[in-house]
This record gives sequence, C-alpha cells and structure tokens, in this order.
Amino acid sequence: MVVVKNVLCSFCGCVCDDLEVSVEDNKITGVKYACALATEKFLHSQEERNPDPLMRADGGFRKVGLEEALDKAARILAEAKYPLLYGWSNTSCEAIKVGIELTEEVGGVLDNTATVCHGVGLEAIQDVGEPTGTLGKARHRADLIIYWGCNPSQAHIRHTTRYTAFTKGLFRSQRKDRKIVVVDVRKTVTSKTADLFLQIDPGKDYELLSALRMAVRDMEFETEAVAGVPVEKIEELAEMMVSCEFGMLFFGLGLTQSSAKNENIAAAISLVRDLNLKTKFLMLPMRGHYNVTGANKVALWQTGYPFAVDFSHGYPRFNPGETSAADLLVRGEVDAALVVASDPASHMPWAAVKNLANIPVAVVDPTLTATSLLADVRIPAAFNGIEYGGTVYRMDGVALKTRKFVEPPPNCLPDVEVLENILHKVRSLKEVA
Amino acid sequence: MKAVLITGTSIAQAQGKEHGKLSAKYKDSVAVCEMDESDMAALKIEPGQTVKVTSPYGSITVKAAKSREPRPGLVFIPVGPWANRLVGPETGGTGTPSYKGLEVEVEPAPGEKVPDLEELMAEARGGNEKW
Ligand code: SF4
Repeated sequence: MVVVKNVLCSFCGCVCDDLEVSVEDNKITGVKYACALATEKFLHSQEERNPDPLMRADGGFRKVGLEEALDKAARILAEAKYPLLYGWSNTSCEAIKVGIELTEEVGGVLDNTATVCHGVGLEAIQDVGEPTGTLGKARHRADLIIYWGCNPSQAHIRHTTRYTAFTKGLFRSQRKDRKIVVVDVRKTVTSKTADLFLQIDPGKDYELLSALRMAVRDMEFETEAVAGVPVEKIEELAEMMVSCEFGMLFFGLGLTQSSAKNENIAAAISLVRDLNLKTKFLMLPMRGHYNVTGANKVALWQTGYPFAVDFSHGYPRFNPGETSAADLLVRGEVDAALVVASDPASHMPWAAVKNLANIPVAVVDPTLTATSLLADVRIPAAFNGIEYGGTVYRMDGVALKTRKFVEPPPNCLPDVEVLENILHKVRSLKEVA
Repeated sequence: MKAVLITGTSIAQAQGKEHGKLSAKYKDSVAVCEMDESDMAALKIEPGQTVKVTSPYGSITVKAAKSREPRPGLVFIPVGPWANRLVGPETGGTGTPSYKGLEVEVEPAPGEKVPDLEELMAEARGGNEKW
C-alpha cells in the first residue's frame, strides 16, 4: 500500500491541500483529513464509472469505440452554426484553454458554470472593482469573519477549520480571537456557532446592505427594521465592522441568486469600500466547484471576459443575458452543445433543459450525468486530481497543481487530450469542407 | 399552502451526486422538499410522504422531509433536476435564473410517484426512451 501525502482535493473551491490518500493495486482504499464530501468523491471515484463511449441509437445508447465517439463530437461541432461549449469548472486550466481555442474555431459560445452561480458577482466586479485577498489573509489576520448567504457547514465543510473560525493563524490563533457573523434567510449549523446571526427576509439582501452602509456612516434610521432585521442588530453589526482590525466578507449563492443579483454584489463591494475608509476589509466569493475560479481566470486572460464569451462574430463578445448559457438555451438560439465536466440538465431551469434535449449534444465527463442521458454522444474522461494532474485555481485565485495517483480506466483520457483530439478533428473536417 | 422556495446545495446532495446521478442515493437526497414541522402538521403530512410543489413555471412531485432548523413558510429543495422544474427562465439580463426566493404552492400528493431522473430526461426529449 502506498500513502500519497499532500493531495489536493478536487471537490470544492477550498481546494484543501493536505489530504492523504491510500492506494493499493491502483485502488483508492482510504482518505485522511478529507471532509465528508471529499471522502465520498475519492472513495467513489473509481466506482459508478461507465468507461464506455456511448452513442444514441434506437431510442437508447450503443457502445462505440473512442475514435468513433470523438468523430461524432467533432462532427456535431463542425456542422453547427452557433454551438454552446459549456461546463469547465470541474476540469484543469489546460483543458479550458483548449476549450477556448475550440470555441473560437467553431464560432460558438464558451460559458462556464459560473454563469448560473457567481457570474453576477463577476459582472459587479467589472462595474465597481474587487476589494479582495487570499484565504491566507483571512486565516492569519481577520478578526471579523462574515458569512453572507452561504453555509460552509454544508458546502465548504473545512472552510472554518482551515481558514477562519477554528484555525491557528499567525496573529489570530483561537476561536476567541475572531468574531463570526452569519447573515442568512434561515438558521444553519454555521449560524449556530456564530457570535451574531442576522436572519434576513428572502430576497432583501440589497436593502440590508444599503442599511449597513447607512449605519457605517452613522446615519439615522426612520424605521424599526430593514429586511426583517431590527435596526439595533444592524447597528450592532455596523459597529463590529467599523471597530474590527481586519474584516473579511465571504458571500455565497444566497447573495448572487436572490432577486437583486449583481446589484447585491455591487452593494456589498460598495459597503466593503466604505469600510476601508475606517478599517481594513476584504471580500471573497465562496466558489463551489474546485476549478470554477480557474474557468473564469483562463477565459478572462485569453478573451478579456470571465464567462459567456461569444465568438460568433470572429472576436470575443460578452453580454450576459444575451450570450449566457441559460438565456441561449431558453431562447433556443444555440443549435448544438458540447458539455465538459458539468451537468446543465441538472442545474438549468426546465425551459433550458427541454431545448438542450432537442439539439445535438456531446458530453465529456468521467461519470454518467443527467445531461449524458440527453446526449447524442458521450465520451468518458479521467478525473482531474486523481487520474491526471493539472492546474486549478482555489476560490481566492491561488493557482495550485493537482497530481495523478491512480491510472484511469481504459478509454478514459484526460479532458485536455479529449479536447485536443476533437479540435484536431474539427479542423480536418473544416479543411475538407 | 403558500411558501417561499429556496434551492441550494446540501451535504446529502453533494454526496449523492458522487454516487452517480443515476443512483438511488442521489434521487433520495435531492427529490425532497424540506419543510418546517408546523407546516407539515398544517398539511397533515408525515416525512416521506409525497407532496406536489407548484411554481408559476411548473410543478414536481417530491418527498416531504422535516427541516433541521425551524423556518415556517420557507421550504428547501436541493439543487437538481427536480428543483429546477420550478425555476423560471428569466435571468433579468444577468445570465443567472432566480434559484432562490420563488413563490410556490405546496400540497399533499398521496399516491403520486416521484419521477426518476430517466423519466424526467425522457420527458425533456418529448418521447419515451429507454436507457
Ligand atoms: S472543504 Fe472542500 S476542498 Fe476541503 S476537503 Fe472538503 S470538499 Fe475538499
């Protein structure tokens, strides 16, 4: 048995880098230091796999050779007028880079899963800038941590033990050195351990953020409560914010997916900017998939835009609402799709799923997903961070390298190789035409 | 009963998907509607019984479950193909649909079946497919 140390976790945006994985005869037999989510991923990554390339036939699927499946995927893309190339948050930056080249080649739209999660935050950042820092800063310096519209106890389980409340930092070594605040529409396990919990009415984040900006500026309120939160509590939080030495606001989908969306994030950024006139304050999104940040960064440095990048004019354009995956699918504007390491059929509204179901779709994914049930061709792939290594970006934008420690099943190539193959085939098809 | 629907991730949902989207564990972890005890009492339903949840955009049958923390009037369905039957197409020019804060109607649905993922996807394709 081999014990592989300092393994990166390719599950959530925390990308913990201290896991220990035991491997025996190419089988993962145990994982140490991983949270419940990561344990599930590592221990089941080799099961529940269907390593067969599949192609739709007679109302079902038939097994085909890998080459035939790759040909089919290339044909779907080469024949489309306006294809969508979607996913990218559960794969390596190297694969994303090839994906962008492929999108440009076929004149389609490249969108990543941020489009339905934290994308609106990226829109706000393009409007007002980003007062941000690393998780290391949070760990070593922050004496006030705010979790707004996120629940690390369920979604980023080791966030509090590695980066905030319960970690041993340089200047803050214990729980009592930090104040923890939770703002959420419901009580959660995280809110129970907080020093202050503000229960907010659903969809009223913008109002509460604006009220906090007033309180931070010592303005008077002519009401008793805002967004369901009594004014005394708003003033209490404002006082904690102003008097802390180093504050950090972590926000989740509770803020990006509720009614005011990008305006919520713009308001939060403005609040943090106001606070920086009085103390030191930073903010970070709680990114979900382990490399969704990378998907945004690679798209940003290659095209100028972090997601929803349209190449149909021959140069990159970005106009969320027009060039974003959910809108394109709902309006039935795209005529084919390549889905890489993601499952839009599980995460898009039904109106989008129905249209996705009725265009040619190629899926590249290590496992069978809801989207693969809609696909015309399904190409298996290896798991990044388990069966091949690549670059990923942690939620704070720190680049890290994952490693390979077991061999993938037959037919399962790293995504980057699958995509290079498809790109090559698309180019040959275009030359012939 | 009128309620506000929040969708989002949960530990069970995240673990369920690692067993495969086609696994029973995944379906059991996401085709559920978590509700407050008092709301369940008002609807005269027990955990595990089926409820029909309807939004302006669609409806879906899922199993009722008791929410861990009290939150009358607020119901939670983990993200997934079941919850997304209720999510509307509008993104307000942002690209992101409203997955949180939807107004829904929850009613008991005795005897109704919670559809399988395969059935949902076959319905999306508008036909009867076998996998
Ligand atoms: S917190 Fe996230 S990155 Fe860390 S072990 Fe858990 S799933 Fe992996």
